[in-house]
Amino acid sequence: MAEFKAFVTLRQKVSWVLAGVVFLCYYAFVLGIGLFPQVLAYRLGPSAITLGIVAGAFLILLCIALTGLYTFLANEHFDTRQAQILNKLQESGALKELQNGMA
Amino acid sequence: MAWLSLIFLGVSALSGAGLAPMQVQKQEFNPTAVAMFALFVLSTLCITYYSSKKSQSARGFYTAGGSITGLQNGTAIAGDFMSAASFLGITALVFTNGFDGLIYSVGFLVGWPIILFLIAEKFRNLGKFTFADITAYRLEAKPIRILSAISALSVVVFYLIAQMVGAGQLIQLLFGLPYSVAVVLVGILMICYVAFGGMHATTWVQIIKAILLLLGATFMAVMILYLTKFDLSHYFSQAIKHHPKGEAIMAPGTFLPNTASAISLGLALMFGTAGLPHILMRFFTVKDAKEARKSVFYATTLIGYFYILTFIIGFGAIALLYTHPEFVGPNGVYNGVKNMVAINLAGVIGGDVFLGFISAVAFATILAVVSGLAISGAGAIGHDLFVHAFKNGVCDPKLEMRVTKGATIGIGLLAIVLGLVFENQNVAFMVGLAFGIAASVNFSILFLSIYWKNLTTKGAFWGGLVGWLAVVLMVVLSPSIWVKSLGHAHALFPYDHPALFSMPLTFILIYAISKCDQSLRAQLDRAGFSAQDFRAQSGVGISGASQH
Repeated sequence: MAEFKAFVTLRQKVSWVLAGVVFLCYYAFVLGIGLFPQVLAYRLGPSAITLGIVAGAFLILLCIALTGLYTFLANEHFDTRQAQILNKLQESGALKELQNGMA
Repeated sequence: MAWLSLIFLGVSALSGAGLAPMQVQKQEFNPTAVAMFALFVLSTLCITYYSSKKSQSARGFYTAGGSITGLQNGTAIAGDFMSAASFLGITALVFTNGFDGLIYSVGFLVGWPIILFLIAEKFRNLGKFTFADITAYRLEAKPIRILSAISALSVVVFYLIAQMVGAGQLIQLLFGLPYSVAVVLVGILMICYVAFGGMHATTWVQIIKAILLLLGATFMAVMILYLTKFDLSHYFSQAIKHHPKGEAIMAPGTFLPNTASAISLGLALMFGTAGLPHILMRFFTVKDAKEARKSVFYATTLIGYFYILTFIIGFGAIALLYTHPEFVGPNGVYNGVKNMVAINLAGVIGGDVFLGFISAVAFATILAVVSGLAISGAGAIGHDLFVHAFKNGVCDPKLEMRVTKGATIGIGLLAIVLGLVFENQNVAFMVGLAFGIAASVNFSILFLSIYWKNLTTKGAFWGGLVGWLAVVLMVVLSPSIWVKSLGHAHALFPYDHPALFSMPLTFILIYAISKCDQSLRAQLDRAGFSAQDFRAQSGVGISGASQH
């Protein structure tokens, strides 16, 4: 039971941290647009490409990379670990209690 | 289907009587586009016929029997999300304002990781057909289902109006069909897909359309880069050279008036996605949380890729269209229809055949999106209102399906009527309103019911209801309606996007009312949390095999 709770807390922590990263990066971008447009207008070297365009493309790639990372983590590790813990709970008969919300 | 042709004739006759003045100039009849579109409609109707056997039961109808794989569902979500509005709208926005178009693209995408990390798997573990299944899991079913249905239906209807009006105008431009015929055609096809083929047909319409749109947009982007020698610096400098605003198109401009507006829009886009009923409903079409996660990953990848393409196409349109004299007036200003930039560019790049292809795909796109909306609206009426609120959860399955299919036809007819009524209105604010309600009401209740033990029925119901009223009121008093539509001098509420104010308001109301709630029901609500949380986390007892 304690093992299951610790596992759920850990998985939840991973979700919150990843959500926090997306949230912070996105609002840094939005606040940049609102408060410091001249920073995003900064040109990179001699090319016409600006920091804002790089930041936007980075955010799109970040979203794809983080959803990929979480899906991989959850489908390859968390689910296996959870199945093991649930099996143990089933054997010890504690699963019913959890399902009925008594724990 | 005699009644279908009757409606069709009736509305054509109305428009023939000259009730509908044309606002946009019509394209000449475009046989390639019509032929390609006819091919799309025929093949999707074949799928609908095949799906009709699978959509007899409620489970088959709402969730395609849970048989959709993660990759298929991800592609279908992308198909649902890459609407004609986002393809034509964002390319047009980039074409006009340059960099600022990227704000929208990024905003529409960032909702997806949030959905995955915080909602998707718990959602799949708890729910069955509609998102009210989650909010009503431990709360009192009747009031919560009624509130969820009100809020889901309002999102669906506002979104639907925006799509129908856009569809009518687009088709008028692309195919040379009268506006009313276009709206009726979209409505009837939507009814056919959803009423006969259910979620199975809707999913395949979305998948086929997503693949066609991605192929078309990829071809355009590659051709643009080929024409600018695959040199990004050269490509951007070409755009700067030709655009009247010059270098300003590479930086944030005047598109958003102030920081509060930017944040408010950002909130609506980010959390609104996580509260759109037709998107959330797609998570029930896969068999478990694992496939639900894969769906979000594939959807995010495809949508992200698509937005990068629209950005390339938008800048490509600046670089290429301004060099074609037929699109530029004597004062150097673009003289075509703004929203048709991507279509004009398709003609420049790939000739008439490719122009026809992109036109047909744009039309197909609308069909896929309205079908998704219709099925979630039908779910709210059939499953939430009729079965759970009106019949207290006990209902003959055959009767439920009859009501749901009737609701689908009703929504289709309503969409046609609203599409005709709003023909000459500026309905751009309706998408904002839909996202505002989704973010403030649906997302708040969903999030709190999944994560907060102390949420009570009273808190969710009254907090949600006042939140809903507040969003609608804020939009009515905002510049887009109070000033532009009603003609008052000053807006009573200064922002077009209410989420920055309505989201915290709803959260605080739900929190305060739940905290003060000492009723017997509140004790039951709180006591139900740990069992709900265990199922949300573990998926034990998930309704994968439930036969309805």
